[in-house]
Amino acid sequence: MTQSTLKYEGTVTAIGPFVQEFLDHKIIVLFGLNAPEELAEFAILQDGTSLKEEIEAGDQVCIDETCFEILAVGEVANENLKNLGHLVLKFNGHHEVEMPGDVCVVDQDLPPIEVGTVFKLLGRT
Amino acid sequence: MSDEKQYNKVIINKGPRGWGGPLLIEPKPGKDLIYCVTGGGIHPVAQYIADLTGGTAFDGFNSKRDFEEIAVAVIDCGGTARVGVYPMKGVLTVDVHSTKPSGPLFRFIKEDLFVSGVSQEQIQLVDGNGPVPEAANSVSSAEKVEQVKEVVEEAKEMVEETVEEVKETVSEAKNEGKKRSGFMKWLLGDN
Repeated sequence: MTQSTLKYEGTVTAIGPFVQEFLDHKIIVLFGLNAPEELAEFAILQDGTSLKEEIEAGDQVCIDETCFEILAVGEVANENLKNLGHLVLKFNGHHEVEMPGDVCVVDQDLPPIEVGTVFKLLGRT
Repeated sequence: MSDEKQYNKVIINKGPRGWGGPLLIEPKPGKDLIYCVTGGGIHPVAQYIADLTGGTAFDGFNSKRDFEEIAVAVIDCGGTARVGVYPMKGVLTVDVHSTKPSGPLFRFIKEDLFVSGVSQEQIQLVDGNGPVPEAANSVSSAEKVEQVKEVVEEAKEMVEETVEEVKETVSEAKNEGKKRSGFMKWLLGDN
């Protein structure tokens, strides 16, 4: 990979009991640490706090060492990430989002995610 | 807020690109939270519902409350997680974004629990008992007046058309020398 900008970084601190419901659909739902309990049940909590630069199509999301290209970014995805540490990653290969909060990435198998896993969002330059 | 709270009901319709509803929001003692689960504190839509109903705006990211205390949840969900979680818990849910049922929890998102695309314009007091706040801004009031005018005009046209039809029928009946009782029978659908 060429030189890239780190836009966001967070480490997984907890995995909700119902996360599998989303993983089965190849969807990863991240929330920040202050997520209400009812959302934490369905989410992977991560401790990232600052979005340095808005993410866009062509960026990469890296889950530990495995990186995936971002194909589309919904209109409220950056706002969600900035305000709530909330990110919805759909591994569906779509170049257009279905819902405004979606971030679509290439259609590949999800890597294992556990407490301590690091999520990074990287810009192209 | 005073100790003896007077609650009002509001009805919330879907926005122009929204889905679901309408929802009747009816805060009661012990169940009056306007539970806001949005980025950046209390969302204006949640505050507006609280102002109109007398409910208590509450930031869901600050501390935990029981679902039984929630009159309505206001979310700014992009379509996957929050849209499903609150309806699944049986909580009336208002999404300020124009989402529709989707995501793994889509089966819980029903029209009687969920409405989306909501801004202040979609929120209206149901009865005239409570004060209508100034915040019911002039733009939407003007729009409402226009809507009412349109409805009245349509109704007028319909009445005029009906009157014309009845007149025609009456004159036809007269011409054919039918008895009035026969016409009344026809009018009542007895034939």
